[in-house]
Order: sequence, then structure tokens, then C-alpha cells
Amino acid sequence: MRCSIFSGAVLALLLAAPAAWAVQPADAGALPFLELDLFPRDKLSVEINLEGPILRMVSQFAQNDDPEFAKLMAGLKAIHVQVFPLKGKAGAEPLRGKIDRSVRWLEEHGWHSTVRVRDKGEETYIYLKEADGMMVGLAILSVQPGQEAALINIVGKLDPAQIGRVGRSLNIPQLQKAQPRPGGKP
Amino acid sequence: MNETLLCDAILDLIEPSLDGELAADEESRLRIHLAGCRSCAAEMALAVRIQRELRSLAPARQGVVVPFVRPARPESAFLIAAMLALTVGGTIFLAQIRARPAGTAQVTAEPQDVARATAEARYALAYIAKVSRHTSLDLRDGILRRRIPLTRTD
Repeated sequence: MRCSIFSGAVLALLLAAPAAWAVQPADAGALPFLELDLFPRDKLSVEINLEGPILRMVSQFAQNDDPEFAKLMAGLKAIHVQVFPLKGKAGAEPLRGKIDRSVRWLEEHGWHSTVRVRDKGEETYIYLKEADGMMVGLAILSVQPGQEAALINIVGKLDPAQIGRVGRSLNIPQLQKAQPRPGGKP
Repeated sequence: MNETLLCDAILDLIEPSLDGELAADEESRLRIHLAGCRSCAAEMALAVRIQRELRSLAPARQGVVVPFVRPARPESAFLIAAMLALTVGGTIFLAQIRARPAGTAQVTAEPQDVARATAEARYALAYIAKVSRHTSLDLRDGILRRRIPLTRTD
């Protein structure tokens, strides 16, 4: 009996370890959408999952027509978007706990809050992830009661100059302030 | 009221107007201002274009839910051994995938797949602009402006 319990425990460990490892995103800037489980996937109005290889093809195909877009795409490893429709002003309430948990997860995993806006029930969070002095991820969580909630994750090594350029063009002072210091970890 | 402040107040009305959320008097105030303010009219035109792009690009693709099937309880040593083999094999397979350099993946995609992926990437960027605009963050993206094909109105 003791032997079978021991065997079962070993088996469980062997099965659980790689499974847990597998659900961890390989890239530091990638959000674990499955683990966060923010929105029910069968209720999404939009779901986009673009990974590296297809993004490189997008970049190649856009090189002639839109070089700026092509350059941006070439630096990205993944784009993930989930949009969840919210019915009524109280539509976001069932998500309250998951939103708080997701924001907490971001902050516990080294994501830096760039923008946090709560206004008239609407919420917007913009987080950046750095690794080795580089921006490697952008996460945007938006909740518009009565309309929709969205989680967007852009993954890729974005150098500070690119972030600055994009930040200036986007006119978000906080995004420019969030640039990593040159030559080292923050 | 200072003209800049007036324009700021008007810009806050653009998104609700597009969403049909403005009261009649606010809509009227917006229209009167837009008729005389080229800058705000340009913002309105951009917002209309972004919304049109979002609507045309929205893939409305629902996620595929794979039902979770609980594995049967192993009844014999053979089943345990098979599960172990699968676990070890799967781990090695995953390790190989993760260790593979990003540039070495051989992917073939049909032109329509690439076109769809391009539309989805543009949608994602346009959505970011929409979110920021909606929250009055003024997240206007110069790249986005160039990326979204201009729609002739004349």
C-alpha cells in the first residue's frame, strides 16, 4: 500500500512538472493567457494569436508597401488579442476578481505599470516588461462597461529607441519615462 | 473658454459621438465646433477611419475550446509505463520546440493566411489606438495613421 502511494506521488510529480513548465510562456514578454483565464474563450468576440513565423511573413510581405509597419512586425515575436463583449453597465462585475488577479499577476512578475486609468467605470492598464535592459513585452488591459473588455499582449524585443519613437508618436509621456536606462538593468 | 481647452473638451466628445452616446445638445455642440475647427475635424475624420477599419478588420473569430478529457485511472503497470513514456517524450518534444531559434522555423503559409495575419496585426494596433483614444490618453500612433489605408472622401 505504502509503495503504491509513493509510486503515485512520483508519477504525479513527473506528470505535473512538465505540464506546469509547458504552460509557462517561453518569452519574458508573453502573458500566460491560459493561466490568467481572464475571459471565457468560447464567449470572445475577437481572438487573435499571431506568433513569430507568421509575423515574419507579414513583415516580408509588407516591406514594399509599408516599410514602417514591416519593420515593426519584424521585431515582434507575438501578438495576442482577446476581446470580450460586456452586456450592460454591470457586465464587467463578474470579471472584477479576475481583472484584479491579472493586474496582481503582472506586478508580481516584473511588469511595470505605465498607465493606470480608472474613470467613470472604465479602466485601462498598460504594462511594460523589460529583460536585459530591453523592452520585451507590452500588455494592455481595457475594460469599458457596457461595451467590451480586452487584453492585448505584444511580445518582442523593442529597443529603447524604438519604444521612444513609438512612445513619442503615441504621445504618452509615461511610456517615454519607462525607457530602460542605457547599458544595464533598471 | 480658452480655445485649447475648448478643443480638449470637444475631443472628449468624439468617441462617445461615434458610439452614439451623446445627448442631442452635446452632439449639436460637437458638430458646430467641428464645422469651424479644422484640427478637431481632422481628429473626427481619423476617429471615423479607425472605427471603420476596426469594423472591417474585426475577425470575430471565436476561440476553439478543447474539451478536457479526464484520463482513465491506470489499471496496470503497462498504463503507468505508457503515461511515463508519453510524459518524458512530451517533455523532450517541448524542450526541442522551446530551444529552437526563432529564425529557423520553417513555415509555409498561403497568401490569404498572410493577408489575414496582416489584417489581424493591424487590428491589434488599431485597437490599442482605440483604447487609448477612448480613455482620452491621446494614444495616436503615427505609424498607425500611415498603416491604415486612407479613405478618400472627395
